[in-house]
Amino acid sequence: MHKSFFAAATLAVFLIGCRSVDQRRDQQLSRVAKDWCLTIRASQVLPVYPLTEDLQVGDVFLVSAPLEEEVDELEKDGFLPLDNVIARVQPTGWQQFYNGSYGIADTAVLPKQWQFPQPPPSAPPLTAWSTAPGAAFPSYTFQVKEGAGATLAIPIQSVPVGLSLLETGDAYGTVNVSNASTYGLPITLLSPQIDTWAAENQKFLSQFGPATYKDKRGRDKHSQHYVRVVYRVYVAGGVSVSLIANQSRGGRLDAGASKSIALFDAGDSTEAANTAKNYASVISSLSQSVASATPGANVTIASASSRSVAMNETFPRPLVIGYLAFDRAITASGTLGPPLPTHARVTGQSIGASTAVFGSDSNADRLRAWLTPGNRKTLEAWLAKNAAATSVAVFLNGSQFELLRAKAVQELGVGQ
Amino acid sequence: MSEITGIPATEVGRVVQDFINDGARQLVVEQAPDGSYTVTAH
Repeated sequence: MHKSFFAAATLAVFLIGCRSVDQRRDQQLSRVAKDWCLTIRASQVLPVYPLTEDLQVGDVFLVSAPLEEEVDELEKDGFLPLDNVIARVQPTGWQQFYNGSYGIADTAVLPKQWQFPQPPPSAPPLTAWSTAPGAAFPSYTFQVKEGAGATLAIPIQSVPVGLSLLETGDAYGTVNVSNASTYGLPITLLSPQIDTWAAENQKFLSQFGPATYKDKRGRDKHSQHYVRVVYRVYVAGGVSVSLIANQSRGGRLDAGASKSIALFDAGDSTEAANTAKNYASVISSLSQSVASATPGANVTIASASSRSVAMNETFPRPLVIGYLAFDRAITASGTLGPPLPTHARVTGQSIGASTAVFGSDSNADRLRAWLTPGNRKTLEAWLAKNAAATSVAVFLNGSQFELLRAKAVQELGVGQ
Repeated sequence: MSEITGIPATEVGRVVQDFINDGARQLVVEQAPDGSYTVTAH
């Protein structure tokens, strides 16, 4: 009886412990992923997560989540899911926009000419992204605590490799996006091409027209679908990762097969003359060891000491890390409303517009009831700061202003 | 010019009133093939 009780209690403690470790790891994973995404977002770019090569200018997505849910997702996860792709429009107008620069001719098909250059190169780099317009991102700083670094959510492999080399799970480091490129089209060139595509698919789009439904409390809610059109993407060829151990100790984490690697030590003064030679040799052998231990990762060691390691990771093929897009509301007849910048829309930034697809809500009713002549001037002054060139009527009735109306009600103290 | 499209029939009056309150001098109300309305203010 006592034995079975003791065994059950031990098992319970073990399971609770496992769950606790899992929860801690989940928290760590989501935090690191979010930090990565926030770095990309800090550059006014919407992050792609996980990284992919298969995202292009002209990709069209169906956005069905209500705006407030998208805002929540962006704040919680750091990125917007791109799961409902409905079309890939092959845009034209590259030559007009780039005027022959970056090897873009009349017959250019982007990004194909950079992804698969002709004739195909026989040696790396196998792509021609180096001829595309360049881009740069701020460095990303992160910290890894013991017990959570082995399966980092950050979409690069250098971090677990570095942790393994340092034989620590407690480190901090920086990630620099390297060999970044970008290309895109202006909305004025791309949006009319989306109109042409929408006209050909009007019947399909009409299924996603605006609708009114009751929420859990029985209140009328307005649902509005959008098409999200990618008009610029940012591509990275690799990353440079620097890791510094908070302290060298046990709790080793391995990426792939475990390898015993002696890290660089300058030694005493009598060996100083050979330091440079030895260092280069150690770095070379480290890189070879890493390559053999992690066949999937193209990681080379740039520098190393017993407390730090710097690595360059080259992606086998450049990957899209971020994008810019615009949203167009779908009307009941399957036509599309005016283009609205996605980033501004989901972050509640100023979006001026003189045209809108109808979409009013309870906040619009509150504002109408509040609009005395004096308050109208207050609202107009507020709109000048938050949605320049937007009239009160368009602001009250446009679906894209749902978030801004909530902001106005809050900031102007409407109905309080 | 300001324009709002996709207005349900029950909401047209309120949108027109909003434009009038904004000082619009000329309003055009059109019905789309799907039955919704477009209000254009000049």
